[in-house]
Amino acid sequence: MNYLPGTASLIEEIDKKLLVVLRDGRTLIGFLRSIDQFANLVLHKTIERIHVGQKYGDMPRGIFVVRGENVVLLGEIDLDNENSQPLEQVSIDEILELQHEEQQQKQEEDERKKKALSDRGIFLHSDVQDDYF
Amino acid sequence: MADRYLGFQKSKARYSALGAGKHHDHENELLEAPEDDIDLLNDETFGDYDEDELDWEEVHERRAEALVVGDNRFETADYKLQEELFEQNISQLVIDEEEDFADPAIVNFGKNRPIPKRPQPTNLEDLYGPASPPSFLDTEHLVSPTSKNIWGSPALEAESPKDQPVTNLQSLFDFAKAASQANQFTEPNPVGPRPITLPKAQTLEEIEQQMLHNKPQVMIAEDLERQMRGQPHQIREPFSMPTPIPPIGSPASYPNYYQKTVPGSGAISHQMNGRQSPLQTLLANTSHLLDGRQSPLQTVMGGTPPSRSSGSPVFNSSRKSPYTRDLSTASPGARSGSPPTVQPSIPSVLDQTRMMSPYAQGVLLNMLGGMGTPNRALSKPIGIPQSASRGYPPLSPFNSPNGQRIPPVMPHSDPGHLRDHRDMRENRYHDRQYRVQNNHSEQRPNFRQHRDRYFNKYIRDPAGHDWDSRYRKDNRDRDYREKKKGDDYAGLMTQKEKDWIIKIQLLQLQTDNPFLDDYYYTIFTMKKKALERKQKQEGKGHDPKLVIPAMSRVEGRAYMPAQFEGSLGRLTSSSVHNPRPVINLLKKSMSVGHEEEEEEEKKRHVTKELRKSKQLLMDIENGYNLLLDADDIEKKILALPDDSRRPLIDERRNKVKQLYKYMCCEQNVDFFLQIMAVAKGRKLAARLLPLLEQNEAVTFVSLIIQNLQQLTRKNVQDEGMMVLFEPVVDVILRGDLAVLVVFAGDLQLDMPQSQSKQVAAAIQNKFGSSVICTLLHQAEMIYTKTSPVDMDNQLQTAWCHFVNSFAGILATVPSDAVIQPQFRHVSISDHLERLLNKRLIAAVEDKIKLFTDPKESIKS
Repeated sequence: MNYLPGTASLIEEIDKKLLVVLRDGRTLIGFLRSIDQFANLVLHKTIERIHVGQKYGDMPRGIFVVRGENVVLLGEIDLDNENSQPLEQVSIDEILELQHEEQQQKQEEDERKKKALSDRGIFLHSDVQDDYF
Repeated sequence: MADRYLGFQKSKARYSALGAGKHHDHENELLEAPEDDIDLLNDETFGDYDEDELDWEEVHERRAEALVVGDNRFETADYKLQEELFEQNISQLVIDEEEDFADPAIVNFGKNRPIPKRPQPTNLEDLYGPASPPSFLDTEHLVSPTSKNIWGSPALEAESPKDQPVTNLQSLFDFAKAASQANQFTEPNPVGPRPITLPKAQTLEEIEQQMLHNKPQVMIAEDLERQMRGQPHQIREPFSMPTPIPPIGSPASYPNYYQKTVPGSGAISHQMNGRQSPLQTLLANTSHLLDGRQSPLQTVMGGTPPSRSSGSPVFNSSRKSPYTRDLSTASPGARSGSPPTVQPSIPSVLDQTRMMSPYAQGVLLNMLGGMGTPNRALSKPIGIPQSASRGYPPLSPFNSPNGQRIPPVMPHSDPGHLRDHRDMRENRYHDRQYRVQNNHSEQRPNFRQHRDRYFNKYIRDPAGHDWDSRYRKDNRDRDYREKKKGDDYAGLMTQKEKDWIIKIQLLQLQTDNPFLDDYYYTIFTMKKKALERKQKQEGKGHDPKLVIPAMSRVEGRAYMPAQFEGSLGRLTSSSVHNPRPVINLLKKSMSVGHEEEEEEEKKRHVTKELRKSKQLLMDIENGYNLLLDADDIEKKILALPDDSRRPLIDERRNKVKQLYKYMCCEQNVDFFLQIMAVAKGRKLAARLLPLLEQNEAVTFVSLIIQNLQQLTRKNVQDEGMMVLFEPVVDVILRGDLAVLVVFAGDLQLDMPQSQSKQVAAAIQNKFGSSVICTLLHQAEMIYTKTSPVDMDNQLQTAWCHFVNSFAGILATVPSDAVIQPQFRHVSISDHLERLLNKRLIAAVEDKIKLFTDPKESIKS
């Protein structure tokens, strides 16, 4: 901030616990250790957190090096309040199961919609990438 | 001697001159000027070291005596037994070290550093900083902050995880054993990594215990030396480096360094109560083992069998002969004391050195002995006072794994402070000796402290190396703070690296045309500065100027990306200044095609109207362009010094005039009305008005007022015209009575077809009433300020007439139709009283209140 008033830089986020959302939908939580001019990130003590409904599960991942272009957003985690969330933590297996179920449901829903539309003469071409929800 | 070594090295020259071995090739390439460091080291190391001669000699002798006891046990043991013990201990020490060096995929991969896989988490990178410096990303004109700093990782952080020492020692002993088995060191890598891959992991404590209890281990190493030299192991040799074994990985191509480090290592050994020596030998010997590839060590070792004997004399005849002598005397005595402190540190150093360049490794090794080998990257201030050294917290900065380049020194952080602390050093050395001798039975954590103290005490600062002290200063306190917080990995990114990134980002922001490229930020900063200036000095208020930084280059030509000849198509070479063009957009013509003539009339009309309105909009846009150009020029004017302003001022004037003419369109009032019908047009007029000179402005305002009725009628919203209010008011307030009369005349100019008087219509419109109000107010001001003599009679009459008619109209218009003006002036009533007769005043009294309600009146 001292160099660039009125701008933001990842420099200030170093060594902070951040929550990073990637383009593929993953949520990583880790300490930002290093950056570069492309905003590639080095995350330390990273966990991947999967949310399904009110439940979430953490998968410890260790050290992540994230290419900058894959980051959607990142934000600092409030260490004081991070545990006082209304969310319920469950085991990894459970959350993966839940996630799988959720994805299946979503797929079924999509299929249903697609069919309904095609019945009415509208044909959707789902070349939509995961980025563009 | 130096030549010999050099020649020796060169004979093995498959490697670059700078490279000691494949393993270290790339590291050497990364180094900018290792030679400087080496020389420095030498000067520092040996220049100053002489003075300590006496000290460690004595100490050595003392140690020698103490260690004599332990010798016999091992010596009397069976050779086989010795070997078994040896192997056992080694296996316990080394974990999984050699795999990667044996890995065929990377053995010959000279350019890359091997990435050792460790079963246990090691914090090498954390300890010693990023193995790959950002120098790989070579931004133009920017130097990576770590390109010179790689070796800033302090070897002194021998507080490596417990596993570190294990690994190195294991390899050490393995090699020693292998060598002893072979009984001759013929091949550079006789046994290779084979015997070393013993995955047993032991804690540092256990190893230390072992070492403590198996004092002969040290002897084993020495025995190994002797064995390699082809001498019976019982013979106690004068303690000297058997071969000119440089510290691990020291670049053999730096002959000076090479040469000098040898005695340095001797000194180190002495420092470490002679314990260093055997380990160092082993270190050296096994370093190549570790690498799995040729190292300078190897080149030495490869030729060692024949030259070993010559090696030692070479070494012995090195210029620090007293060292060798002392080493020899000290060697037998190198038993007592704190073996754990020495041994673990050395392997740890070894381990780390693998990750570093040979140069750094050499330095590290030098520093093992705690000698004043102040590699500028590695030097530690010695400013740890005696008292504090004891109570050095276990979680000392040395423990911290991250890229803390130089462990912070708590009390004395001034490098210069340490320079002349010879006495301190000497004293501390003495004390340490005593303490160390007594401390071998202490608890484990203390060993680390000891080691730290070793390193602390004997690293001296190089003479004035800016980057080093800068480096240190950058990191020391902050790192210490960060460690204190409990986040051991904090500070991985050094300040230099951060600055580097910020520099890149700043570079990307540089522009010749701040108003064009980054308008909002520019305006933001200007406003902020103006605010600051205002706060600072209330008096000097002038317009904020944008000072275009001096570094901006004037470039007339558009940026053309690099073009390659003979290439098919255009190669994309885009940068931040030249983002890749995805599509070439063609300018669309505004005119509608010719097809419309074939269409129905209705459509034609529609399209025509459409076209007309579009045309109108286009005209307004053109007007805006002129305005914006004038604005830009004005800003440039403000930024430039006065001399060069002239032409720009003229240019701006021209543009404004052009716009004015365009807007006024003396011939075509309709056009003016059309423009005014569009909100954007009104805005344009509002922005133009302040730029005009008074006479032009008056003309313009009069034009507005003349058509006030139409304008106000056409405006669905009352507020439509208000955008013009302020500039118009400004004009009025600047005007004199003549101007007012002009305006009054305009007001009274009734269109033939209008039913009601213009004034009446005006009153019923906010803009109109505001204008009138302002007019009256201004008149009053004029009347009060100027004496009746000065005022033109004619004007007065005209004005009076106007006011009368205004009052009359006001009387007729129902009260609720009268809109309150934007700003009400109390003075109006006075004015009316002045000019009107009582009757009229009475008639309009209540309505006047609307005009004069002081709530929002402007204090004149």
